Amino acid sequence: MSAIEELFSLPQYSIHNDKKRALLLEELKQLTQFHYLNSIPYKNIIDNLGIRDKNKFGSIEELPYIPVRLFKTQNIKSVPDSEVIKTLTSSGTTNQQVSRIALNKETSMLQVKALASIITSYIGQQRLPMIIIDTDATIKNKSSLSARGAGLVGLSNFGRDHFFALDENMELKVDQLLAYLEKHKNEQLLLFGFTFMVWQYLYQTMKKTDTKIDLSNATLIHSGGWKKLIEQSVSNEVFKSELYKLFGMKKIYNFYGMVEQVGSIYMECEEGHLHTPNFAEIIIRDYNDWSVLPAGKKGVVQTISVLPKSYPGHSLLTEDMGTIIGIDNCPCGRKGTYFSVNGRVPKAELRGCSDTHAETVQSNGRAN
Amino acid sequence: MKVIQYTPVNNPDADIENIVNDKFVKQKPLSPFHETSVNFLSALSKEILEYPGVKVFPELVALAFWLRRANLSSIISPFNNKIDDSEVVVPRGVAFHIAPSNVDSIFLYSWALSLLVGNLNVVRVSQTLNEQLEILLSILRELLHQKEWTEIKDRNIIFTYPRDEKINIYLSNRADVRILWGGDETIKSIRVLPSKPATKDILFADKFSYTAVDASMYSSLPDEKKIQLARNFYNDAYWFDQMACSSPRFVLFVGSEKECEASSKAYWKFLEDELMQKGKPDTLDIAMEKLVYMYESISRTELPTLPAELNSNKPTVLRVAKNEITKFRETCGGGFFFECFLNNLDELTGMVSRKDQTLGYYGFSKDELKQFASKVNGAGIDRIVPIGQALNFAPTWDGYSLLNELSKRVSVL
Repeated sequence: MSAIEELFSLPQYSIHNDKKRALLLEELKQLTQFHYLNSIPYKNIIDNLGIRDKNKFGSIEELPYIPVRLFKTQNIKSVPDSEVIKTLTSSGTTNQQVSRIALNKETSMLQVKALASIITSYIGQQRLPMIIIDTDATIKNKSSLSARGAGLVGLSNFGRDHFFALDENMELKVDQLLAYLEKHKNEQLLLFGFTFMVWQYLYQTMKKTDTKIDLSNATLIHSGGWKKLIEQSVSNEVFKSELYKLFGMKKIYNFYGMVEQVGSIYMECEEGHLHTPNFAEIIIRDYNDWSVLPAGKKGVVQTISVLPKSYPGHSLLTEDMGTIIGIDNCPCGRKGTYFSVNGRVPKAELRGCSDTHAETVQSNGRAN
Repeated sequence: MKVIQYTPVNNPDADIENIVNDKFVKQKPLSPFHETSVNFLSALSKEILEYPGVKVFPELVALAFWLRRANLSSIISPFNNKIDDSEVVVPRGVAFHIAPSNVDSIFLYSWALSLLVGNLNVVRVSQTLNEQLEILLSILRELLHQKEWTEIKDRNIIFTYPRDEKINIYLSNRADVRILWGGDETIKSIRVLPSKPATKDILFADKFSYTAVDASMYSSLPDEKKIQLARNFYNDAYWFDQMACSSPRFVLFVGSEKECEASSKAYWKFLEDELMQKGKPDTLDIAMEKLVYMYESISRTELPTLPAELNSNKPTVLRVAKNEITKFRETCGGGFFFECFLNNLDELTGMVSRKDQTLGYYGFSKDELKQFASKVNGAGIDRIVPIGQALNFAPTWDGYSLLNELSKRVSVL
C-alpha cells in the first residue's frame, strides 16, 4: 500500500503523530519531485532556492513552501490544459486579483474523498436532509467555481433534499424554510453556510422576527473567515452561544480551509480546536526569519496537504496567523496536530509617489 | 463640488467653486522671489524645525533645511544670474498641483518653488493623510493665521477630494500650469481632461532608481567610511519605505567578479549593522510582502539567482544575472534590493530605460559619469548623485528646470 493509500485507509484522526508524519513525508517528497518536473515556476523556485536533492528531506519542516499569493499572480499548474477539468477561483471581494487553481480528475477525486472522510467522521455515513444558507446562484457554473461555490458543491454531497435558504438577493426564504423544517420534523438535519452569511442572513433575520425555529436536531458546519464578524465583536464563542440561544443548536463546527487546498479542511472539535486530518499538517513560522515555531507560539500558518496533484500546492505559506495548541492529546480524542487561527497577516501599505490613483481602489476595498 | 479644505482653514465641507472662485483666480500674483514669499518659506522652515518631536521624521527635517533662507538664496541667485538683460521673469498665474500619496514632502518642494516665482497655488493632496502631512498642514494653518502672511494666505489653498473628474476639469480650466505627480495612470487620466489652451503640464511619472558602486574603490575604504556610506544609503533607501521614485531598488557593483563579490558582501553587512542600530526590524506585514516578492521574483527566472536571506533585521537582496536586469523593474519596497555585477559602467547604457530617474553612486569621477550620461544620451536617468543624496530635492527634477518651467519670460527689445 502506498503512503497516500494508507493515509486514506486508516480511520480519520486515528494516526499517531510520528507515523502520520512519516507517511506524509514519503508522499510529499514524491509530490515535490513531480511538481518540480512539471511546473516551470515551481522548478525555478526550487532551483533558485538552491535545493539540489528534490527527494531527500529529513522532515516535513525541511520541505520548501510557496506563498499562497503566487496563485493570484501567476498561472501555476503541473498538468497540461487538456487534463484540467475545472478551475477554482478565490472569491476575492477585497482585491481584484483572485487565485486560480487548476484541478485534474485525480486531484478532484482526492478532494471529494478527503472531504467525505472528514465530514462523515463528524456526522456519520447517512445522508441527512440539508439546508444551505446560500443562494443556488452560487453554483450555477460548475466548470468555473468560486471558492464559495466549490465549498457548497463539495459539502452538498453529504446531504439530500437540498434546500437553498436564501434567494438571489440574499433574503431568507422564511416561509419555505418553515415548510422544510415541518417536512423533516424529528429528523437529524445538516446545515451548511459561510460563517458571515449564517450570522447575517439566518441568525440576524430570525432574531428580528417573532417566528421561532427549532434547530436542536441540526448539525451546522460553517467556514469562510471571521473578519467581518470580529468587526461586529462576534467571536466563535459568541457565535455558538447565540445560535444555541436562538435555535437550540448544539452541534456547531467551524472549519478552516482555503481554495488552494480544497478537501484538506481543518474541522473544529467539541473543544473548539481545529484538527489536522490524516492527509494534512500545519506548521507555524516566525516571520522574523521564517523558522519553525513550537506549540504555543503564534506565527504565520503553513499548510501541508498531500491532495494537490495538478498544481504545486502541497506546501503553502498562507497569510493567516495561527498557534499550535498540541499534538495527539486533544481531550476530544482526535489524534494529530490541533491549533487555532488568530486572524490575517495585515496588508502592507507601502505607497510611493506612484500611487495617487490607487486610492479609489483601496477605499473601495475597505468599504467592503 | 465638495472638497475637504486643509489650508488656510480647516473646512471639511468646502465647495471648490467658492474657494477657487473668480476672486481667487483673478487676484494679482506676487512678483517672483517677493520678499514676503522668501520670508514665509523661511518662517515655515523654522516652525518645522521647532515642532516637538520632529526629529523622528527625518524627511521633514530635510524639508525644513531645504526651506532655510540660505538654501533658497542658493537656488534663486544662480537662476537670477542667468536671466538675459532683455528678459523679465513673471509668474505663470494659477498652478494646480496634484500631490502623490505618502511621499508627502516631495510635493511641498515643487509647491515652494511655485510659490517663490509668484504663482497662485491650488493643491490637491492625498485622501489619507499620514502623520507627517498632518503635522505640515497644521504648521501651515498656524502660520497663515498670522497677519503678516495674509498675501500668502490669499494665494495658496490645500485640499483633498475623492477622484472626481468634474473637480479636475474645473481646476484644469483655471490653471495656467498643472504639476502632476504620478502614477502613470493618474497622469494619463488628468492629461486627457480639457484645460485652457495654453495650460502647461509638468509631469512626474513613475520612476525607477539605482545605485552604482565602484567595487575596487569601495573595497579600499576604511571601515568608518563604509559605515558612513551605509548610513547615507540607508537614508536613500529606507525613507518613504523605499517607495519614492528616487529610492534605489537596484544596486550595481562595478568591477571584476572577485572585487564585486567582496564589495557586495561588505556593503550589505554594513547596511545590516546600520539597520541593527536603527533597531526597527520589519513588521509582520512588510516581512510577508518581502517574502512573497522574493518567491515571485525567483519563480520568473530560470537563471540561477542567489536567493535572498529573509530576515526582519536584514535587507533582502536578490542577486540577478546581467542579462536579466531589465526583468526586475519593480520591488515591493521596505528594504528589498536586486543586485548585479557589471564589468564597467558602459554595460549599463544598454539597459537604461525612460523610466529611470536617479543613479546614486560611489567611487566614480564626475568625468566618468558625465561620459556615461552622454553615452546614455537621453534614453533614461535624470540625475546622477552621490549616495545619500537620492532624495534631496533639487530645482532640476526629472529633467525639468523647475523655476524656468513654473515661470515665464517677457522679452523686452
